Amino acid sequence: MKIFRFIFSLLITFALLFGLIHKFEGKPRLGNFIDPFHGFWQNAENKNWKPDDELKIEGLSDEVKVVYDDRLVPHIFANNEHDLYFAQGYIVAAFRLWQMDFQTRAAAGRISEIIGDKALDYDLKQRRLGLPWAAKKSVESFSNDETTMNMLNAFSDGVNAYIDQLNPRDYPIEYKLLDYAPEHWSPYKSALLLKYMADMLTGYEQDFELTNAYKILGKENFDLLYPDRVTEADPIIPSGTEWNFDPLPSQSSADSFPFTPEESILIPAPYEKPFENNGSNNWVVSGKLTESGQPILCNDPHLGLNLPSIWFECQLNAPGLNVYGVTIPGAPGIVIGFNENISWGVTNGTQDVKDWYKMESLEISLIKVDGKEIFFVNFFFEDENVSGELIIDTIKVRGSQDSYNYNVISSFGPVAYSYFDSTKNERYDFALRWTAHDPSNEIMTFYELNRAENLEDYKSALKHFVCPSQNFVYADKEGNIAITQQGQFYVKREQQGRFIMDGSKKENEWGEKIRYDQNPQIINPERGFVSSANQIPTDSTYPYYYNGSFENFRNRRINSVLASLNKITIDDMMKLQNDNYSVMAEDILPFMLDSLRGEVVRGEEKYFDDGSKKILTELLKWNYEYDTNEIAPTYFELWSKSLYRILWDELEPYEVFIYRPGKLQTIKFLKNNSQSDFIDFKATTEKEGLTSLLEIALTEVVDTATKYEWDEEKLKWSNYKGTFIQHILRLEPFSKYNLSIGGNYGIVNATGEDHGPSWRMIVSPGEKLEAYGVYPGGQIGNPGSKHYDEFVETWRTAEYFSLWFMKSSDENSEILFSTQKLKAK
Amino acid sequence: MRLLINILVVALLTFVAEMMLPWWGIAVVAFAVCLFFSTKGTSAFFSGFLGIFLLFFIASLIIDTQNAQLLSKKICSLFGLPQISLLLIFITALVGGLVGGFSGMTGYYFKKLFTK
Repeated sequence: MKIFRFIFSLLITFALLFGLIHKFEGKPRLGNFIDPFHGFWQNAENKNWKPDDELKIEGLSDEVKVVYDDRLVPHIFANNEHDLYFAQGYIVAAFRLWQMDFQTRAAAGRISEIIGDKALDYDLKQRRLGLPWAAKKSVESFSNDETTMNMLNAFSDGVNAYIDQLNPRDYPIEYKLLDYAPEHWSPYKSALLLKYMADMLTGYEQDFELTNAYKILGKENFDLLYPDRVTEADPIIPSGTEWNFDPLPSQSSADSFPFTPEESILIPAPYEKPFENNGSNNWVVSGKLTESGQPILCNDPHLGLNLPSIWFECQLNAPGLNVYGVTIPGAPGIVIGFNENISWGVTNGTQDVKDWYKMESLEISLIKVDGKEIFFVNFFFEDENVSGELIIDTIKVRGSQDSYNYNVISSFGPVAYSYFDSTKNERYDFALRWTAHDPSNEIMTFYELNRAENLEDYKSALKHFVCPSQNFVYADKEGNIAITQQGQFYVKREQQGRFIMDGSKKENEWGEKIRYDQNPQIINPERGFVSSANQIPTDSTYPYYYNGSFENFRNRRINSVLASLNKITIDDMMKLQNDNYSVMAEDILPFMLDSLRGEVVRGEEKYFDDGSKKILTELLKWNYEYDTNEIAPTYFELWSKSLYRILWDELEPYEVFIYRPGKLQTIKFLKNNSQSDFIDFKATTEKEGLTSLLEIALTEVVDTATKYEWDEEKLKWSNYKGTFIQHILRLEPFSKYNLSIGGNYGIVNATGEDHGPSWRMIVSPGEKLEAYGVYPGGQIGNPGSKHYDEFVETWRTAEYFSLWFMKSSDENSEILFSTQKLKAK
Repeated sequence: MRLLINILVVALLTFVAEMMLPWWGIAVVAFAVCLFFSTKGTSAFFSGFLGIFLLFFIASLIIDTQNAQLLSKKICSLFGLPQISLLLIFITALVGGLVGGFSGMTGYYFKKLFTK
């Protein structure tokens, strides 16, 4: 009897413990997670939390003072550079450890280690694209540079000092949810992060899609729908600017005609690409145009809106350096910001720097050398058999066996995509030439910009920047303003790189490197301002060929507003950063309405049902502002989207996806080609003209509005759009949904559904330095902290924080929150 | 009275164990305390259960109050529960209590195997 009682209670205890200790698929280990002394409760930050007054840390050489303001921006004062970057690493890790760890594992294709085989495809993609390989090359290339290595090592030691003093109970909550542990940082991880950004910002290209479109449509229609350049945009470097240099010649005169194995074969594009609208705005107005006489620099990079935010705000001070701004957690220094002398900001360059090559007769074989079996790779290049390098790496997969990735490195770069055509039983291999693979040291650009005092320093800092190409705006306290599209570009022949190229021909290689001082740039232009919004960088007189996916709307709005203003104030600039005016609506809506109103004029108003009338009335009185409470933008979005879809329905039925023509090209097409066969809607038996196409599209708007029960609240633009900021793991309770905010893609306030201005900054350098900024997040990455998302409301309502640029560590302010001493152990 | 003392001993030792051992140290504590001090199966269960239940309840209640219910509400949603922090505190305490109760009972019956 005793024994039964014992066994009974033992079994229950074991069952309980098993259930609580075991890791069930997709669930945290419940016992640990719920325990108030180890689990999530430990991440519930005390609402009165303050940073410790004093910390003893091994690895510091001297005392570091950190002043936190009431938004928890650390102002770090160190006596030498080592301690400065060490302390930055330590503090960034304390605030954002999980995020930086997770993002670099993602960059390296190591997510399967954490969440199992469902991430295997993602990991394979990262590895085949060669991102970890490129990061390794970067580390090799900057290991020769003492300054870079010292900075990266100090930063990395700081992160690791933080990690090493952590008890598992202190791990960020995401580790507890996913049940794994932080791992040590290294300069390689910082390099991975830069490659992650390079992929995010230059990963988008259309080589396969355009090649397929060319084959499907034939040259004439292709040229009509996909012209290489759309000329309406206002280039970054004003038209008419002269180029005072002798360009390098293009070595190759080969045809850029799309090349693929056989005319009949369509090859689907590989991998999901980064979001096309990863764009940004920046501009600087010179003192000539401002009320204060000082220049004003503005920047808002548009990226995925996530929590924890992609940006971390801080000030860095050491002998020879005093800089304020934002950085990406994991990168030492400041990426966008200002110092006492200068200010800088970036937007994405969006030139195409990623090209695909079809490899000829690529073969991987197992051969014996000295009794050892090794893999051997060869392919044809210029009628010769050339050998390539084979890299095999292991992917650890949680809960199952290791997986392997094979990367063949050709003379162009990694063979990142193989397509197997089962009907022909043939494999097609494609190699990638991408500047993200070039050895480079972008960190050095920021290192030097952080310390820059004048234009010369700015120019020489940019030299190091290879990929992703960025439009660097600049303003200094002397009143100089400048913009440069910086990146490593190569001489290309006309149209080279728009389509897949033949990888067996030397003539298809990129040409020489273009010298950085021949990149598009302008200093103190006549018109008194510089600006960029991912549009085309130059007019057609620029001596080098390039292509890319350029934005055509925001730039025109920004430039026309800037040209119309005088005595510009910081307030004006805040307004412009939050401007909701749609140039696209201005371009096309009157035409759409006119094309319909023809019916009205002919006395056929009865033709419209009540719903259509309601919609048209809204649209007729609309001022093209995408404001939160407007209904017209919702109607316009619905109407133009469905018009776009049924207009290009001819491009739908193919077995491979091809991009629809760009928005501006579509507008031009509608206005100039109303007789084209593309206008017809294939789903109907009749042959539609433009008017009936617009009517069909309008019916769809009526249907949607009816679905919304014509509820004005639900149809209001911001509610319809429903902007959200998602936690990186897409956990709903850690995310913010249905933010009421205006704007959209293609509008200066480029806040779409889940992408948008990720950091708005306005700086006026000069006697009286003024700086404002805000990002949609908070300094602390812990969802259990009130600082997790505390800036979101300020950001949403188009407000800014005044940035406290401290001149010395004992400066006082009403926003001073706490002071911390980091002492050497 | 004895029960009350046992409850307090379990709570106290669990608190100490939580500082040094992984969370399942609570089971060891309840097992050991009841092995030595309990006189009946039911009282062993309640010593373990209530000792840990109370400790967990109070600890998470304090944390939750200092955190202004910010995280507990999010965790409720994550688990698909209504956003009631007290419910989560109760579940926390219950899980701890059950582990403590059954480990305590096991400890007591283990001792009984060797005594008359």
